Amino acid sequence: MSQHTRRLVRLVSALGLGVGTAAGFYYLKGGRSSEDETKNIARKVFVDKHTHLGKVLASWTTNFEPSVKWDSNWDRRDPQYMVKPPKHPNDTTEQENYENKVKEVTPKATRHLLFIRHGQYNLNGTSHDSERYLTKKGREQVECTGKRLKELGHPYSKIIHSNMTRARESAEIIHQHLSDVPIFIDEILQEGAPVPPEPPIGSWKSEAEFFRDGARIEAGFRKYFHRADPKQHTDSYEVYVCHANVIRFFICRALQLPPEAWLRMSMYNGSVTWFTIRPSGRVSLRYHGDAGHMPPDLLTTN
Amino acid sequence: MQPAISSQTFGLGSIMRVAFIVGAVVMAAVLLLWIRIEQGHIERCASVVERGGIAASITAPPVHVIVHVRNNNRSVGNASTPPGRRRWNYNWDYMQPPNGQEAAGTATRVILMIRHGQYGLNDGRLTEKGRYQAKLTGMRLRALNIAFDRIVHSDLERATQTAQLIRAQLADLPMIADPMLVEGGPVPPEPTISYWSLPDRNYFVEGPRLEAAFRKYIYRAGKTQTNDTVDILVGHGNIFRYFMLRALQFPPAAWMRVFLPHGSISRLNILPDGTVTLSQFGDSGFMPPDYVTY
Repeated sequence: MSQHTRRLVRLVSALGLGVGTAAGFYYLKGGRSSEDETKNIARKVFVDKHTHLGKVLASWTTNFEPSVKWDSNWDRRDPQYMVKPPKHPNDTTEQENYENKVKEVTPKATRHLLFIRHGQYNLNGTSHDSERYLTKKGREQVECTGKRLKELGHPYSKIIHSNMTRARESAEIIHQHLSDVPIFIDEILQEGAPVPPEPPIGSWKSEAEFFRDGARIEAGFRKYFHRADPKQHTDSYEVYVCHANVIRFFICRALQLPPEAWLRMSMYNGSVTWFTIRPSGRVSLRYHGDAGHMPPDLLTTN
Repeated sequence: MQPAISSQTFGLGSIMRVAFIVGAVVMAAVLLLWIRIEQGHIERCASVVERGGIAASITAPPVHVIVHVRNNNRSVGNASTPPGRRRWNYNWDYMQPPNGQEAAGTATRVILMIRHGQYGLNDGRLTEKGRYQAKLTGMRLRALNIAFDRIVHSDLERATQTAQLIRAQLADLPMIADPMLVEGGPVPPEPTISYWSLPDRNYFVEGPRLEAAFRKYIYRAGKTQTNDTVDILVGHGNIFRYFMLRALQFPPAAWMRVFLPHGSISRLNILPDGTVTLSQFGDSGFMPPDYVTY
């Protein structure tokens, strides 16, 4: 190999390296512009979601589209889906039969659900639930709530309470004021962590807790929240005695609001949250965390 | 010749050394670039995930996607974001300090929203029941024993009357009439109701005004505010339902899903870090049952 060839090889490799370096710098610049693009996307998402220019704030214009549509079949009890559809829709007798059956399974009554948060309880009892009993103040709070429910004078059909000590004791005190009303216990209404809250505030919970409790509380929602059975002919009032997280999650779910928002609400001990479920499946919240029946010195959030 | 050869040998060695260094730099640059591209991709995925519907979070247990999310207004580092989650916007009132800075204020602003009492549809004035409701609301506020800062009320007759009856129960509070707080339709409701509707023009005209009222009264305490404040707003059902939904970052179109009894008290707490909580909505337990009207 001559010296000329060696020199050529050296020249070519040096040139190659130079081009490689330049390409590297060029790509680096490209990398930066990709970051800009990411920023732009982030900014667009920010504008869309946070200033709501995309949907919500423009919603008073005539081309309004609701950001979240009401799902009328949220409880899967919309009567038109409860009956086998006609095989031949053009057959008038078959169609008539179908329509009659739909009419039969259409709810007639309104359900009122009154959710009571338990009274203030002993927060020092950390080792076992039986130590987390009501304080004296807690007993006074639900005493007031029992009186208020009696005073409201609704024809209550049942009291259902969580099996945790503070809820059971609260339900028993309320039951003293509504002694004719049958009382039931249901573990599904226990306190727990429904879904990770947004914004991420509140006490830390492990993912395992959300995984376990979230499904159970959702099951509780599906068990108790539904339009009236077609056999129910008069409006009903049911009293539920349970816990703040459960009730707040139910508010979000029942009103079809984002469930992760549950921690944006709080409620006083012994307060009343009133839901109405119409035969049409419409749900409304008549009030949330009503504690006006208590003297102000009894107002606690535990 | 000798010196020339030796310098040539030296030159070859140094070129190889330079080649090694430059090669390493190029490879590092390529690696860096690759990481950037990946990161951008992940962020794009994250924003898609964030924009997804809420249905998934209801029907399926939350499957967490661990991603690096660069938040525009708050550095949260590694966030665990289930699909369909809507993040809380900390800069909802445009008072969030820039990244990494401490919250500007230290005080909490409490907003008590009070709906007027029952009124006659013919004359727009409070009925006897409505006047008594307002009196009971005033008595309840007095019993709560909070240091209120002011009463701001809609200048419609029913709200003005209610505000006056409330103020009669409280020690000399400044009272301000604000036409921004009069009733109107915020947005077309979803779901709609069959027996009641407003013309589209109402939402077109009143909607932005209600939003303006929201921005005027609902915001966190600034740097200059050192003490907590409690404002009493006396107004109407639609506007306060809209305020509540907007403050909690819920879809405002849901306003017909919630109700407010006459004379009821609803409480928003606006914390210095930009979070907002609702501790009661439509509190009316201080009224005898037959005075709880809608």
